[in-house]
Amino acid sequence: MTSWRSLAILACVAASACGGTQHVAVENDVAITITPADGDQLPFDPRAARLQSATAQVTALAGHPIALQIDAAVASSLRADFERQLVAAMEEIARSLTVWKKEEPSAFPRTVAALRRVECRYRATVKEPSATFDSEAFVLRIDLGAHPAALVPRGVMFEAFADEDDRYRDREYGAKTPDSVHSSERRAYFDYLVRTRPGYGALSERKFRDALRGLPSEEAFARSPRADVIVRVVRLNELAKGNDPELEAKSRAWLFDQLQYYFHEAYRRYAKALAGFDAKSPFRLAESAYARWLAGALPTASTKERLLAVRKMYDLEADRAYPGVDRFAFGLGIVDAWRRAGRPQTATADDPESRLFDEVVCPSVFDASGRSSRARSCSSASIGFLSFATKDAESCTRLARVLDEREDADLAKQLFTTLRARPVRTRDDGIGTVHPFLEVLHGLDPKRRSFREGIDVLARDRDRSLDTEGAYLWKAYPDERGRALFLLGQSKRDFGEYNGDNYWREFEQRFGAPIDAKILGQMLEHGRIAFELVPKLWLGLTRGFSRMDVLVPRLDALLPDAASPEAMPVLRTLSAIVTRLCADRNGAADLAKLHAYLVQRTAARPSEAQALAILKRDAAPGGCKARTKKTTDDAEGND
Amino acid sequence: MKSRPKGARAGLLTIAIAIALALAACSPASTQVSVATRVAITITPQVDTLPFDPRSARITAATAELAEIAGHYVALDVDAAIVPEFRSSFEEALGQAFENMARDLADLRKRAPRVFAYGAPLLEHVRVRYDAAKTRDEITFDVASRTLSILGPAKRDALVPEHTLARALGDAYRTHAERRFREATPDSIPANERRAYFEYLTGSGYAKSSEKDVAGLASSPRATQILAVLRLYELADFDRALASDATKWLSSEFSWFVQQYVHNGALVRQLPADCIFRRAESAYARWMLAAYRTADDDKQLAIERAIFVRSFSQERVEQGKSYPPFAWPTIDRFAFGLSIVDAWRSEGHPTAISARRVSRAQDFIVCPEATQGDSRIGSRCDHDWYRFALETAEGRTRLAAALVERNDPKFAEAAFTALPRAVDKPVDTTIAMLRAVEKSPVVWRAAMRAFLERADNEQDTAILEEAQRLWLERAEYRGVLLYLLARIDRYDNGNVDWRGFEDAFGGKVSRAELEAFVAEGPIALALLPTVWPALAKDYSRAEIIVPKLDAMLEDPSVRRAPKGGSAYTALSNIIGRLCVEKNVADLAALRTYLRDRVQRHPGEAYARLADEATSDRCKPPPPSPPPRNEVRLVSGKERLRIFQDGKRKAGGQR
Repeated sequence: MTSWRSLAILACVAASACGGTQHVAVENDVAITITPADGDQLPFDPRAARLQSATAQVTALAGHPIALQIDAAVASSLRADFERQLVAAMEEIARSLTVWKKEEPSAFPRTVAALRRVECRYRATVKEPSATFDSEAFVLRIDLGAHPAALVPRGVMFEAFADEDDRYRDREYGAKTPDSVHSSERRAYFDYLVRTRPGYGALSERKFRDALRGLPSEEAFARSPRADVIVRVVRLNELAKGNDPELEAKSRAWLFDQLQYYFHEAYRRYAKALAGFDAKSPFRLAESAYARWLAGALPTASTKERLLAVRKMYDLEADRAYPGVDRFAFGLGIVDAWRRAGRPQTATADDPESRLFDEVVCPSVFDASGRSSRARSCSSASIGFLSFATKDAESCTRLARVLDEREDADLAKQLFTTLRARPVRTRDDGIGTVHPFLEVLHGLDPKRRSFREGIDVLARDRDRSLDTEGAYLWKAYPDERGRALFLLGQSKRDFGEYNGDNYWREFEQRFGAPIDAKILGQMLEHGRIAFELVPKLWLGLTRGFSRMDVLVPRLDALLPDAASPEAMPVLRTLSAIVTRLCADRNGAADLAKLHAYLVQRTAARPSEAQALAILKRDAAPGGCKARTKKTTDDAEGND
Repeated sequence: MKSRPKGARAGLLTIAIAIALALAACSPASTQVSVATRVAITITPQVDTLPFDPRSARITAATAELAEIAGHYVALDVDAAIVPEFRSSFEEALGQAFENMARDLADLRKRAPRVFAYGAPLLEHVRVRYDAAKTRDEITFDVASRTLSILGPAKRDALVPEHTLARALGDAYRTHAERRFREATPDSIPANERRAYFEYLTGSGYAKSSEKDVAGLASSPRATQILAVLRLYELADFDRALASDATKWLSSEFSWFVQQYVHNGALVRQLPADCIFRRAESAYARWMLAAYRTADDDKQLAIERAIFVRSFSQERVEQGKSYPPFAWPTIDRFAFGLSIVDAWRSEGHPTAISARRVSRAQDFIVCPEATQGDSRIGSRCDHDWYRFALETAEGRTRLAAALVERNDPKFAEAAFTALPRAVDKPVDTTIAMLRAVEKSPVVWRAAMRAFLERADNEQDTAILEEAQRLWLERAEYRGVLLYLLARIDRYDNGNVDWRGFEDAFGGKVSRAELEAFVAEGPIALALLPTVWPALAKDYSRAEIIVPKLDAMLEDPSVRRAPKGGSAYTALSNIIGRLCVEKNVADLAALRTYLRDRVQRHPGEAYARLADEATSDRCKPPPPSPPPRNEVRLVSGKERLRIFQDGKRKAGGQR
């Protein structure tokens, strides 16, 4: 080409002896002096030395010389400047080769063997520098505009190597299948299928990009080449099993990633479109192959893989995602792992298993009084396993069955506590809303422990649902009215004496049945909180049974050590009960029973005598006078 | 192109700046500048001429200074490909290179003498080489060839950048120390090497700990390090400087244990008894307690904070304890706190306003409060020691026993003032603790006083019932108990059934009991009108009241007395009560007192009260206050009605 002037570097360098001061004449007659002046010259040329050194290093890196051919139009017209351009170009070639070797060690030998010359070409129309690598012609061409900042701009060689490598792999593997590729080439084939590059995404899918451009996103998704890649990688994974552990592990990791990058996205964003895909569509084929693989992989999944799975398998719009994978059973497996691990309530920092339990069980910490707290975030009830496990009535029933089967009070307490945070959802029949917590509760066998735990959790957070649910249980579960009473009592716990007494006085009238000994006893199964309700609902208790016959047998459990500060709430309740009995015309017999118990107790435990002294005094015959408030008139009469 | 000396390596110009450069500058007659050239074919012009002026003042001075610091001359060997293109720049770069190296060495000599002593003699050559592919320097120091090598890009700020030499020698020394001390123990190291060993142990090169699992924590290198330094400290009897540095280093190491207790509690709980961590913990605890005795106030406070380390909130909830029970197992944390209480007592119970101020370390444990005029001067403590003691039954028992044993009202006051802030349910714990010290009148009284002063309008029936029990069982406490009852019904709201007092407390308030009550202070006397319905009728009130009136009228704290009133209101109410009783004699005694008071204090507003304190001026008693309004929910059409005084208000509000 006549427009080209080849500059052989070494020749150039050899001729680059420094001259004296250079004068450049310009049209406006101003003389511009290019420094350095004579006196500042070194006795050797460091630029030449640098150029030679850089050239030698590039040669060593490549294993052969790489010629640099430069279009005069892009070369600097100043000698010194041109030499700097050359040095910078060689340095960039050296860096590009070093980076390419590091990033693509398997491709490096082939690339470098095919690189014999770098051509820096002037192109008048070029706006941004670009490069192409023609491995068959052994030349890498860089197209530059006038006055380029660098002959070999940063990054262009790497891009050219990568593009050429992509083309090469496409030629080699594009037409092959996992079964047709030789076993020794499976890893390379896998690399070809899945390799990505920043800014380019999956390289094997690039050739489809133009065809998808401009399509509506749903159609683009339907035609996405990823589905085909997934089918191929699933097959590769099958072929690698037992033969190639490295490929098996790599393909497995990639497939697990597809939970997040492909299927999660598909089921969430294109749920409606998926309904229209037939069984022969690329997505369905990929889904089928993937679900088959996933069902086999999950039982042996590592904690990290399971963590990824629980985060991406439940918050989906599609009803029938991952056909053949029992997502409920998978989550349940983690629940059971939590039980086997000793039902930990707190997480160990940076422990994947703790995070897994957090994602599924979402355990809370319970203090001695039964209050729960959580210091970590939890999404199980909103978008995670528990959300999935309570998404409809059938799921709630299944979860309830699981709880009944396990008979695990701690598990029930944790799951119900987490479910309390679950928002209401529309009923399956579309009429009104339902709280999944209550759906699970109603699915439980009321005779089993989980039901009781559910009631405890429900009663702990006093809101409007207590009143409604209490009334519902009272009617729907005649044998469980003690639990219903607990909820109703909790809902009215903050009533003052006047309003409380009015409410409970009319209880039988409102609910159609009185509170008898059996109901009171069942309520007391709910522990200290239920016991504290007794004086409040006193006027709701029907006549005809001894209150103390129900209460006294439970006092030892409620009051393990009357002398401790922790016993004070129970002692206050007992005191309020004594006051109620004193005000009750028929309370004498019950007071006597309580007195007898207190006498016996203080005899057995003298350390409690101080704590029980006033109760004992007031429960004794005549003791009630200490609890009868004197009005002004009484007092004046006394006076 | 000219031919080059044989044997030269192509493409490289190496300029060895020999050590004699500076000498050349100092004594021109003995110029020994040797320029070893390995000439590449591209070099022009000849290298017979030096590419710089070795006599330039700056280069001469810099090389001399470097030689002086290092103890010998250092040769600089620069790749021609890396040097600046102009002679002046090259000279500048050379000067700067020597200066940077001299500065680095001088800094090492001052800051890390051991690294300097090791590295300076080893530094003989510095090689700077060009690498086309590099964007930053790669630095190595080869001890065998005594050469610092810098391999890097041509575009550079300096031939030998600042800190390069220091870092290289530091790394070399660490490698050397690691080799020398890796297998050593404090006892195997000769005395003259203990300092070096200490520096190796405490330097940044020592193995990093990884406490991610039980095994990692059990054999933590940090624990080994602490154990070794503790042993060095023991061995450093005659090396005061080493002992001092070891103390300084150790005194901040509690933070590592605290970190494990707080962040790795689950792991610490599972540690075997005889692991390195446990041994280090035990040895360190011993050292820390010994160090506490001689530490200054700030250090003592830091140690106390470390000993009373608190758990994270979730751990607190799960364990039911604010302080990890597994922390410092060899320290009796309660006894440690008590020893500080005893020191505080022996120093005369200092407070924030006493002549001798309470130290921050004592304040942290004891939390003493003080009264200044009408106000309380609180403590800045977080009540950790009390919280630690009160959250277990054993701790409560020990605290009560300590209080009783010391029989010190100021300690009791401090403890019971701190108590409500240290526990979740202050009334319940206070009652339990009061029972525990009940047998000691001095302690109990101080404790009860501390409690009752914060019990105004307290409606908890548990307090009332406890007061009843004590009234019946401890006649000697009745004055304070009556004061307690007056305080919990401070606003006369009916929190105490004064009219039914006899039934609940076994009798009316006797003269002796009233005397004990008013002896509790001016506020008690100001509250007397509230207590009045409980008084027996067989004694003169005036005989008890009048001697105390001056004190009440002059006490500033009475301004905070009942119903936001004043001594005047209290006196007026007493007169009102005497009127209701038609107690002519007591009224006369009161009138006499008031007239005398007015004469003694002209200008006071009691003259009018003196006039009112006559039986014929007694006004009929005011009607009893109506019960407090209660919003009652009534089923029916009218959804909300307000009842007052038992009667429906006209035009009931909907």
